[in-house]
Amino acid sequence: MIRKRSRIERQLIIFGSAFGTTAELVRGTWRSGSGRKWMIPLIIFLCLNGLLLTLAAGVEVLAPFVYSIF
Amino acid sequence: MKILGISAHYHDAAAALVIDGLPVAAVQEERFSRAKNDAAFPMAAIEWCLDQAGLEPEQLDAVVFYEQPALKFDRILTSSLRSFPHSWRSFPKAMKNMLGEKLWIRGIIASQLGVPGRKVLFSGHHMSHAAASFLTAPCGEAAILTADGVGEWATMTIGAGQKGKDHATSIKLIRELRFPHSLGLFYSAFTAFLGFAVNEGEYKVMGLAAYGVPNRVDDVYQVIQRTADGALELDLRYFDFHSRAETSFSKRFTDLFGPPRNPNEPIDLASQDGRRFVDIAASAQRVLEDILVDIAQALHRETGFPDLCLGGGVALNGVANARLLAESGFERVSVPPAPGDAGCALGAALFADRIHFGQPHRDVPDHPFWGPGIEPADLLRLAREDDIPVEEVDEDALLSDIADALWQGAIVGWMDGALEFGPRALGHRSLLAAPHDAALRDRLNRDIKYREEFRPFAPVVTLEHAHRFFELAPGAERLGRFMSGVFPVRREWRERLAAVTHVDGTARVQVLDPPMAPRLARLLDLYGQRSGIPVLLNTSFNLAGEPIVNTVAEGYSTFRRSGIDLMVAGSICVRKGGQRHEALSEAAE
Repeated sequence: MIRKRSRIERQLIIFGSAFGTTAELVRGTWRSGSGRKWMIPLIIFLCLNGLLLTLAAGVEVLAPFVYSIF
Repeated sequence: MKILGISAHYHDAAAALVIDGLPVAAVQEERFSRAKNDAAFPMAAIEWCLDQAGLEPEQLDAVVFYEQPALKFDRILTSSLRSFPHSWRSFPKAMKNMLGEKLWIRGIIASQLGVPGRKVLFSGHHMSHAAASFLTAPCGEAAILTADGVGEWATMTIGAGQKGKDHATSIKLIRELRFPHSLGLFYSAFTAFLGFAVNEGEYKVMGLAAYGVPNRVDDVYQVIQRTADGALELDLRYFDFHSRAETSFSKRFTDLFGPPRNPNEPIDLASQDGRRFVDIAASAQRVLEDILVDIAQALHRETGFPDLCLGGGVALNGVANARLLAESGFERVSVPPAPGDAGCALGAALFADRIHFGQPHRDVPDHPFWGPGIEPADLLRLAREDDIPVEEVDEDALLSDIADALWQGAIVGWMDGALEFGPRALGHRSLLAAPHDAALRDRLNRDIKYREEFRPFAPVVTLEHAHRFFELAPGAERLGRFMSGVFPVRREWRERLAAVTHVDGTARVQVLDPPMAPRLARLLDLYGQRSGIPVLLNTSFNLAGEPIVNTVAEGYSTFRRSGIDLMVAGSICVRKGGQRHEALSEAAE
């Protein structure tokens, strides 16, 4: 039986692991050659946006603040 | 080791559980959610797999996702930037899709299952296809060919695999073709042009191709060209999939082939447009086959292995598979029961077991029945509640009754044992009917399956009798085991197998090895005693747009809502009252 977690708990776990995923992505792009290194700031920017989306979806109380950023 | 494999978030999500090197459960999410090709995170499938083995998520040694989301994100971002500004519309949608969920799959798995992130592993998309095909095939070494729309970057790979009892199993993908050049996306563009849903209607193009003449092959070779290294290249001016999400072919494509088909209009073969569509389908199919055969021939020369393992969605193309067997030089071609993305769940789990953790190889049981079983008592209860006559007799009498009913023209909903893993009904969730009468095929299409008239039905025959009715090339039994090859019906039997013979005289035959589905084999024998032809029409037990039934209640609901005459679940049989069936003896004779 899989223990069901609350939505906030789930989103926080996803949020916590996202930094590792972003770091892997950046590391991969850095290693893939100089021709693609310029993409790293874009990747970081997009990932941060993604994290905000994830956080807004899970922690509803934060949604109005995230909304105001855009 | 206890390893859970997961595929999700593209199409046809699934979960598979491997314990000590052998699968114990594998099932698609759609079979629980009842949404066809459900791509959502397969929570129900995972729960069922764990329950089946009596495991808690904490007891898992690893959870393996079937592809690498970071690489996929890299591909989507890079190709969006490359095709800027054409991609400006699709870019936000693609990013929202990727950043909203897919990229964070490690966290999603950890949060849903409660396993630590370090236990979550990733396999490559095409490596998962290769593992699903090679590690389940009954061969020690084989060449491997995988082809689909797109994984991370790869769209097609060729390689070789070797199994070792001494921790030496290896799969080496030697070369890969990269997005946007893709045989799968090429075929999908024609699928969309012909008015069918991409990722779902490709098999309709294959069925439609039989009605046409491949007289547009030269035009098709304008959009897809061979390269000097033996690979292929799409002329991207004819396609849109790399820059837009909405369409897959460009205006230049329609300038070449004419206006696309309106999906809401039937294909009228008597009309000029109807002929155009079927000829284009035949030409695209011919080019796909020619390219696959050519690549496989080169792979055979390179590896020298007698076996070829095929994986990826393109391996569902039974006509191409049969040509590969006949012309590539390989003695046997193996296609797993779930060669598409769903099968990657099992492939990823087996890859982790054999290659990541280096466990010794164990032969995987050669059947597709890894899903939930049935509760025949449910049928008894449901039918009694509805005052429908129920029969519960001994096995011999039951099978004898069903054979009689089939001979009298009944359509039978057949549920037996564990659910098939993969898109084909291979004898545990099937609709069975007599194969003699084309009118019965039309009735199935009209009253039960509600599908296009041009689509053929498949036959099932036991290994013992297969060669009598079908022209099976050496090695065809392997392809026929999971209904993965299309072979000619022997000319003298075509009229008497009218319901399962396609317009070009072929059939996608299931060659049944009796130990795989003994009750169905017995039924085929009994039916053969009555009709002289131990062949049955076998199609999936579902209605149009619905997944194959899983539980007895779903089977019963389908039985009540459609023109199925009789339903069998285990030893229980129910039939709709007051129906008389026209004897088929005349048609058979």
